[in-house]
Amino acid sequence: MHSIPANCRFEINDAEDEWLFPAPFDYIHGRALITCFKSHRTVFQHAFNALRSGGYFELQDADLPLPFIDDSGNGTALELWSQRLLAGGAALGKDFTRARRYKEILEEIGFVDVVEKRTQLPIGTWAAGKKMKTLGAWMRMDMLTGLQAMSMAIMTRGLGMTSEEVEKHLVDVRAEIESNKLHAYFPVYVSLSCLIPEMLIYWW
Amino acid sequence: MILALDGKLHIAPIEDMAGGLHNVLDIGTGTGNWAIDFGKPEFVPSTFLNTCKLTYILANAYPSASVVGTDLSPIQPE
Repeated sequence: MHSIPANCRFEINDAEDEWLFPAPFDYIHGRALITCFKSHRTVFQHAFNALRSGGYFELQDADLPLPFIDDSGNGTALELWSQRLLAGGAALGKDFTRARRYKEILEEIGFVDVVEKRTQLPIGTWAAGKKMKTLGAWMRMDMLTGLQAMSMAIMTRGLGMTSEEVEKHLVDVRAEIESNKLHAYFPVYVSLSCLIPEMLIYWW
Repeated sequence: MILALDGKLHIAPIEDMAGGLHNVLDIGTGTGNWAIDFGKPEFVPSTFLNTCKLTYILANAYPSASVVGTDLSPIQPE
């Protein structure tokens, strides 16, 4: 188990509800929030309101559908998995394609100097280079370990599939991931934005 | 994600922000790993520590900042 540093504490809160933190923050961070909210705009607006002027808001996320760099994904269970997650999410009122629009949403809210850094997390060790192979090995393990947790609720509640149907589907997905033959990756978006410094507001 | 960012917990230039870094919030903290790592003077990603024995040192971690992590689920360590 971890030991918690003295300067760190945890609270149970719904970020889509009103934020009741007493002091403004210098820096707000969110990682892997793509599946968490019905309205990311609401949460980002709360962050905007809770930051001090000159403070930073940083988001690190990946979204769906899974792109393939070639035709290796055509007609595969992994391609279908990605489509089913998207459709199931949509049926439950959630948009899993949203990370690519974080920058636009942040700018609409009023953040300034929004920077977006894009990268990829390959699934499996098919991509060239030591770094991508290491990332891909981790992502493959993540996928194999987390596949059921990522899929079950969304596919049963969102698409009306039975748990047996989902498990059967996941057997095929796991086999494809283990084969290392599908050239799929998660698109990653790191969005960084700054709250406008107070002085600039006075000038206007 | 840390590996994808070349061992970094963040890309924001918070090392030298005007007024200093005092209050930090991690929304959807999940297991709390990010917030715990962030608060450590010597940053070692918890996920990698036992599994592949990689040690990443984030030289600019922030022991003087107050870090709050929030989530719907109480799955963070106590």
